[in-house]
Amino acid sequence: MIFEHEIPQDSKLYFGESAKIKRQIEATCADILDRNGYEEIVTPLFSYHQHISFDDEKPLLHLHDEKNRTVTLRADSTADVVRIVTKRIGRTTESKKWFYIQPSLSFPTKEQYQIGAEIIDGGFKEITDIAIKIVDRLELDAILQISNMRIPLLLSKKYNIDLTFLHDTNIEKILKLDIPWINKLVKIHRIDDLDNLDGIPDDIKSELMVIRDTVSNIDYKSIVIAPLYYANLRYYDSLMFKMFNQNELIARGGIYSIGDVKASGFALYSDECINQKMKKVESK
Amino acid sequence: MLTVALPKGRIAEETLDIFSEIFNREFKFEGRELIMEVGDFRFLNVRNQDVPIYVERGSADIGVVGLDVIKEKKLNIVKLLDMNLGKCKVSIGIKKEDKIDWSRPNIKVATKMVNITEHYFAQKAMGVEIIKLYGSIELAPLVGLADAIVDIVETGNTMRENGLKVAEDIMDSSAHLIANKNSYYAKKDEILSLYEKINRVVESRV
Repeated sequence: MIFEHEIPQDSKLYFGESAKIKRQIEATCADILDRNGYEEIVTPLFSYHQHISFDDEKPLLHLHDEKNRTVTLRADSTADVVRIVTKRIGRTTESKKWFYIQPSLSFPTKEQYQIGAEIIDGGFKEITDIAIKIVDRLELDAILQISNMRIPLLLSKKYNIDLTFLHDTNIEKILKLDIPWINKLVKIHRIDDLDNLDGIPDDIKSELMVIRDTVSNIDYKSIVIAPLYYANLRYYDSLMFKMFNQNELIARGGIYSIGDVKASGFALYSDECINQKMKKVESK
Repeated sequence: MLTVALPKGRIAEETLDIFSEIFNREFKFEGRELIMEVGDFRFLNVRNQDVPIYVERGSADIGVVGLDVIKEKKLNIVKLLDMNLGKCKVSIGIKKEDKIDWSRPNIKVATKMVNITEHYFAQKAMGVEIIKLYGSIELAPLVGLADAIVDIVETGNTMRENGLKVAEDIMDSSAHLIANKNSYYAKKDEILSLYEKINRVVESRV
């Protein structure tokens, strides 16, 4: 039996103060992104290409179009924004910087409001700087975590470290390998830890130096380094960042490849931002 | 400050003993208290099955819980260390006069551990009807509710006393130190420093 007041689990309902905060967050982001040369895009809720984004397709909600081809509801905006900008409207626009304000939907009934930005041929610093600018303007508390996907991928492909250990953050299994330089990677936490990389193989070391050089140019109050972090989204293939506060993921982004397109982008998770701001309102 | 979720009972006591040995002071829940603060630690006294939930949702930074619970709940946490406490097995129990016939098309199994059971029988390509129970699992085969049970076995005495026997072991389990993913990255120095101290005590006791 479904009661008249019920809404599906993980669907979102905002009203009063929370709806006002949502609108303010979206307006602030739109203003910042617009002033920084980003054009807005709204992509279809239905997509043929969502499988590009996910290692595990279980979160996707499947439907069929009029020719019985599989369609999914949009569970991730990045792949569709990049594909539409480069393949569908590429001939009619010069713009390489885009932003969107739209929800994603995943199995069984999860809604997630997001504000995202993508830069075709963009770099890590440019996208991280704009994410930081937004988080600061919204007065959100967050730790910035910097990782480099090439490190877990190298560890898996060249050094035969089981990728599931990294995917599952199974530190117990990683430390049990008893490889001194991998133990050293596990302990890296702050930028200063990258000053002494003795014993680490050169190819891993050079990817750590990429992190160090990047972080030294980023102006943010709280930065941690996570060289073994492996993202669930399959298109991230180089530097990436996460911004989190306690257990809430505020934003995530980085450099990625989708098909032959290299780009950088991030998503700000509106629901978590609203939660944080509501807690501040309630504590007053 | 690190918040540590501990499973009520023997594992909590043994874990607190390890903390006492490391920090050379007493760590002990008084009476029925659910929260205890000592030094830089806050301990939560929660049910075994709830430990990974407190950790995954960030109410605790780290926790101690059986591997069977971690496998059963399939949670998104960091696994840090096998603490070699509370060693047991997850096993299939049947009536002492029975045998498991793996050629039959399906089997009825009573258990608390639905996911572990489902996964094990799927691997064996045997259809399984799972009856979820919350306690006294051994009763199920005796009254014809199920053909077999999947349950935690430490000595096997409970099964033997109830006319059952272990037909097969599914997995070994023991208490593991786990961490919340964001806490792990935010407080890595503190968590890994504690990990090293606990690991030294655990290794010294092996």
